Amino acid sequence: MKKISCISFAAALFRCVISISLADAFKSDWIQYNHGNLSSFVAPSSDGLVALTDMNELVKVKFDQDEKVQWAVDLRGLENFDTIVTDKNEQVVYLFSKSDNVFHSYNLTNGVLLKRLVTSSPVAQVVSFFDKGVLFSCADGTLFFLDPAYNVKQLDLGFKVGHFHHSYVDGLIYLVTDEGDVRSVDIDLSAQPCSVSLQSYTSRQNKVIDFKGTTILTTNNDILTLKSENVHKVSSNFGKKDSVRLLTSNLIYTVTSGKITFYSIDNEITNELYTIKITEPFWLLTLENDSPFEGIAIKTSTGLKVLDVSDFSDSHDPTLIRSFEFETNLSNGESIFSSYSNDETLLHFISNENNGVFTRKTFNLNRGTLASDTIRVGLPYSSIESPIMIDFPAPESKLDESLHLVQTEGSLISRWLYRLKRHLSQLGRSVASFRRSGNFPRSNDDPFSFNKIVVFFDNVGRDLMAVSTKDGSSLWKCSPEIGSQRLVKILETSNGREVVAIFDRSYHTVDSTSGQLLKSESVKTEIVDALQVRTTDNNEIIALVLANDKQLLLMNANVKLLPRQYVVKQLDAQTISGYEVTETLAPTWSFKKDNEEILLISHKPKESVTSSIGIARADHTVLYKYLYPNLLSVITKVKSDGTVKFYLIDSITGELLYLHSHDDSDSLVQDSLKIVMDDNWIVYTYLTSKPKIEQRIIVLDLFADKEKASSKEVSVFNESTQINTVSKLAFNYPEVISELASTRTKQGVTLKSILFLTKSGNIYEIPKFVLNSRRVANREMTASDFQDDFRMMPYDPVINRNTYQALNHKHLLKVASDDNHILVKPTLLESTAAVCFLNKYNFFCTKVHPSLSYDTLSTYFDKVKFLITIIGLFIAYIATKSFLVKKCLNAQWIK
Amino acid sequence: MLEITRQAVAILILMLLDVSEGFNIKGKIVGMPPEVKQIQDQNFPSPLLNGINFQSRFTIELLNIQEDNVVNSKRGVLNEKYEFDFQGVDEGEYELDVISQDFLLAAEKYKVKVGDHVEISEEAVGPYPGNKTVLATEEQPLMIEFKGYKEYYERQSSSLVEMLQGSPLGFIFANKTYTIMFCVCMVIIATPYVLQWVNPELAKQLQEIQQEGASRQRETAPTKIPVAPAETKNVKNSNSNSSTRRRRGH
Repeated sequence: MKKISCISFAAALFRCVISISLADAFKSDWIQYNHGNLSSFVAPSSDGLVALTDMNELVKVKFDQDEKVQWAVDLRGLENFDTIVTDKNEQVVYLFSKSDNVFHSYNLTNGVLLKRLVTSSPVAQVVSFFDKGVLFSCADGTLFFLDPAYNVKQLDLGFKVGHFHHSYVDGLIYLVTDEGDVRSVDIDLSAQPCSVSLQSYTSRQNKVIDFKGTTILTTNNDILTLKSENVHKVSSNFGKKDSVRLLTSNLIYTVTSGKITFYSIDNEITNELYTIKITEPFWLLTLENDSPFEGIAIKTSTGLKVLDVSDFSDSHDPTLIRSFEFETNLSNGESIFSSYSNDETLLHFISNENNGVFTRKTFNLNRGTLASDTIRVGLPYSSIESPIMIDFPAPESKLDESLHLVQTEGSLISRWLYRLKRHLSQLGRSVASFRRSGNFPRSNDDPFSFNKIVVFFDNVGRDLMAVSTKDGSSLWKCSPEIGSQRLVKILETSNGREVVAIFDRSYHTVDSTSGQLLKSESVKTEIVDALQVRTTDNNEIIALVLANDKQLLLMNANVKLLPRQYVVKQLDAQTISGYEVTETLAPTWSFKKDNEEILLISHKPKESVTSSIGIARADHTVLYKYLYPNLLSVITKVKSDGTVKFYLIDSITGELLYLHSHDDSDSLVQDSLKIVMDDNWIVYTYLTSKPKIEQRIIVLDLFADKEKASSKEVSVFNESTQINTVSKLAFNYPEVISELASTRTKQGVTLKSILFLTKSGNIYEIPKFVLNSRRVANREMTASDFQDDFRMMPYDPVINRNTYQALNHKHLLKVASDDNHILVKPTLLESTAAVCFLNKYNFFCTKVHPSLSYDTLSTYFDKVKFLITIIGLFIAYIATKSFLVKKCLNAQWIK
Repeated sequence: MLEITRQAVAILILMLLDVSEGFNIKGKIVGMPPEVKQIQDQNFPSPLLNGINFQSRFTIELLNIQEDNVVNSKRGVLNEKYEFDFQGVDEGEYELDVISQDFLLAAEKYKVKVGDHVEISEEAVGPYPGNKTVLATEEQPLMIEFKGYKEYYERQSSSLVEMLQGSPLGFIFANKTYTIMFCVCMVIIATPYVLQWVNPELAKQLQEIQQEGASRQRETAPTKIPVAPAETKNVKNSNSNSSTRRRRGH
């Protein structure tokens, strides 16, 4: 009971530590989804469309709203859908596949899946059935009716219905198959007896290709009219190779070189009505007509021509043909369709621009107006490789200011005068601004460096890209000439003003603010890696590791490297080597275990800062942390028996410091291993398959004696680096963990948290004190146990998921199977770190406060209420003062 | 009767449509509150993408381990009625994960055994023994109960109303009648003091009236004989007197 109450108390504490305030949600974080490019779409109405995208999503786009994407259904992991159809009432969207046996229907308003059907064969066609549902046929010839309540009924027409054509005549729907079978069905789904057959007119080579009203067109340009008792062949002079199109049941047109000729069907004879001559070469475009609009679209060398024959089709009066010409460059991916609403005909052009953007142009044929819109569905990149998060470089003016603040040249008075002048000029600017606009100027600066730049390489577009973490806006795009080169690494220069993209045959220096390409160098020998090394003048420069004998190429040739710098490289699946960095990489040690395969290696991040070197215990002793920075974690698998081993190695000397063999090795799911190291701890996670599928977390805390803890030496050949104590504990987590990271702050004073990206699309921030390997197991906790560490608690093998710890709160993240990146960067506020999660599907950024925002006012701090309280207290003081005087007087009188 | 026949036909058709080999696993989220459907029907505006498409915010996966410890997962989708199914599931042992971004469910992990028949039972996280009761079979869908909403946000707790309601007097402000009574009492208590400031003469008059009333009551009231034990009363009185004496003695 006591244990439970302790745990609940701890849970209550965590809740107040890291839950997101309702006032902060959606303000301090943002998410951008990458829906990709449209691959196919339908436009159920004039103000929006429903589309399938190349990111495997079904999206609804609304043209006239700020948030263009209304909903997006994730189809990953499901069948391959390729066709969309909407119903007549524009309420339901149907999705099916020409390769898989599946049929989905979705609510068009909110994207909710209405029905999922697994069919006997792929769905061939879906058509609206009056206003009562849809008919869908399968490739095996079966025909089904899906009613508005999503009940399915099979229809037997007496023949197989694969692809078919339909037309509404006299309250019946006529279905004509490509092969020429005909049957009519009434609104109650009763198949009407029909003595008509087209079999004598059709064949395998002469199939039905169009059916309008009662008129049927075949491949060989035969025109047939359907009567209740028989079929008549219309007499015509069309050849088999002529381009004949059916516009309405009694209007046909042919397209030949230089002209479009219209024919009417009267008494089973075609009569030529009118010919339009077009002097320049043209070709016919597919124009989806929305009744009552009837039109023909042709593309010419100068643009686009649309003939409105709506009135002509009724009256056959050629003067009623309206012609519209548009100067538009139609690309291959452009679609044209018409819509008719409020007695107005709109012509829509949708063109896909292949960078997540499509443009929509809408011409109102009645008013002659044009509306144009560029709509972003996806993000301007399709893949994210080697992302890094960097600070915004300080502007030049700020640098000058800082320089004057720290400068020591000149006399004290001259420096004071300069500062006074600067302050007076700032005051003058503020007063001038107040007089002009009534407001003091607000600084656009980001004084606490909350906003960062994420730089990455888009391998599909072959561009270097930079995005602001403030709002996800694209800052710049740089396209160096790299051909098909492979990216090796992206690094930031030590001054923070440039980034260097290193490819296998060249490297390119880019200004991190503007994206301007500053320098491009080609290298004859292949670059295999890049390092950041220190020089004798204590600067950090980039050194390129070349393939031939691990030669180093320094990006600044006029410097000397600081001696005793070491790096570790994994050479192959079995070998890790340590090197000393000189002019070459001189090998110092090697780690190779026969019969063992290296699964994962990890370093402690070099930016890691720790302010506390020990833990004060209840007995007034100090448990010193093992903070040696050159630790290397290696996880291997023994090939013969599958045993998984965890090694801790001194990356300078190659000395083995700790080894742990897993007793649950046989069940470890190899690809699930993730690791994070920081401070004096290592956390790694993996999935086990036996006795059940389970997510495990292993926590190792390393402790040392006082001397080792206080030593800041990076390289210690002459000292022992042995770890005094390794404390380890295993936990279970209810969800599959796809990626791990740890928070970092500027001074390392703030508590550290571990970030878990779960497969279900959440990032949970788990405080490190929860993942404490020293949690008390198998006994009741004593008073001294509670004082032995910060928020010490009894051991519970399960780390419960707490929704208050979800950084993404209600946003659902899309997790990729690989290449999920969690980037963490400290801000200038010790309490706060910037966190971004990005992969090819989405980009999410937020700020974390692992120990609450203790150094800044929260966003919902009510200054007005605070002022009212002060005033209230002051009034109360004044009001009670007379009572107090009276009381004191009475007391004196009693004396 | 006609309705039953229609349903039977629909089921028959569905069975005809269902041509996949293997076993079928079906499930449903039950007990969803009516306001959830109301939100969807009214197309309630949400700052989130798919904010009201709660069905799409479920992660439903059927996991099993294949050779070489590789996890194979099959994704399920929820329909409007919060139903899901996996068709053509082969023999073997699986884990079924049902996780919602918006709702708390009775359980999120289930063990699925597919052999001669399908058996679904709850799976516990960690070393704890799970509930071995068979919750569902191939014929009987898995019913997962809705337990509540997932809370993600800490609300601002600095409002005066919340402060009052959270105080020991909170029960008064939770009820309208109590609140009125409380306010009236407060006004009656505060009025004489306020009157002293606003209208001292009226306050004096009131005080005199009160004193007059009190003295009349004293005159008309019969003399009360103390019923409490004399010692207790004496002790109380002596305490009171002693304190008075002490004060005066200083």
